Amino acid sequence: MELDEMKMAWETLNQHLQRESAISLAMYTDHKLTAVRSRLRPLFIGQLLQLFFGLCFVLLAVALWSTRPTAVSVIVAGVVVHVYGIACIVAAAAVMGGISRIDYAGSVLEIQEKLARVRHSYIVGGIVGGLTWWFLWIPILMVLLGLVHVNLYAHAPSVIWGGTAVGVVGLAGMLWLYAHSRKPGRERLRRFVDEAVVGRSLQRAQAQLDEVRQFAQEQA
Amino acid sequence: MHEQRGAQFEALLQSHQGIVFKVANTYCWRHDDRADLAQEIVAQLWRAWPRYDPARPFTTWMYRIALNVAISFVRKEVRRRETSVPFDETVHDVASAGGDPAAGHRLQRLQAFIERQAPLDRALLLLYLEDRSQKEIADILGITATNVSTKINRLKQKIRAEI
Repeated sequence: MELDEMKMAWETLNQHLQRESAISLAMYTDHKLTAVRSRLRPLFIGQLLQLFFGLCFVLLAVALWSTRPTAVSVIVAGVVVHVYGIACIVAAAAVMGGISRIDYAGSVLEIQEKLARVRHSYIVGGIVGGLTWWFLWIPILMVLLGLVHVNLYAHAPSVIWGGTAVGVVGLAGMLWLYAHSRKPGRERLRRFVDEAVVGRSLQRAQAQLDEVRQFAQEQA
Repeated sequence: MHEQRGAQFEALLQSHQGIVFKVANTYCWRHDDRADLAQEIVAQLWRAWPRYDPARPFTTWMYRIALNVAISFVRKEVRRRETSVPFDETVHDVASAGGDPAAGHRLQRLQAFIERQAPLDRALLLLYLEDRSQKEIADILGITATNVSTKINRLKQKIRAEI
């Protein structure tokens, strides 16, 4: 097909689709925005849940501070839980703020890169946040026991050291598996790790970023 | 004042509604998806309208928003459906060509070609088919005019080779 024919076909195609679709823009009044907002709701609810989650950790730490703990180990555990809670809140607020600040009137590449970057950071944040649970359960347990004035480190240090060792081994094992799967000739393992550990969403987010950058840089 | 701005928006939207339809047609082949996308584009246009600078061309502003919404919409849909669906005229809302089999075949080949393109390339193809100037395409996409020229030459070669 020659280019002129293609342009004619393009016009015909649009005329047909427009007539057959019978989409009326007159329908789009303010209340139609509600439908669009409802589609954005899952992301919004996800961020609200994270805010709530972070708030729970902060409240747990505050409850511990109200008991005026004196043991250094309990105080350190409280600080860790408090910081984690604040980090959850800040991360959720940053994603919500980042998305709401995106002005779709920017150039296509600029906006698509921003969206891909927000998504990428969100997913990486989720993975890092998830991995911390190899260790995070220890300070949480210490804080919960600290609320009833029990110092876990004083009574059962083996739980803490044993848990930390398990966390180190588990995390190191995951990192080793990830590095091992990247070596040439291990495509099946790589696919398994990508789907089970890294997640397809991160791959897609990375692919989108790469696509945008490649489109911007491509020259003759 | 608010009503006046609203009326102004409606008038501009009516006179440039073809942009909304064409972008929706480029990114969605199913009737329901097209309607959803068109709705989302207009909603974003309306939301961005208070920040529109009248010193800048309205069509450039409109294309930017419409294409950004469409590309995000397509990516969300791909995530939702997990895999992209290959072109299949039995499930696509293929336009007919008024009983002319040759013209109908051309339309199908064109639709299939458009759908094979990545979202950003599809934006370039749409703007090229709409006879937009290289400067305007560069402004809408956010790349240099030289890059636009290179990409259009490649696109022309691809069209000749594949259609």
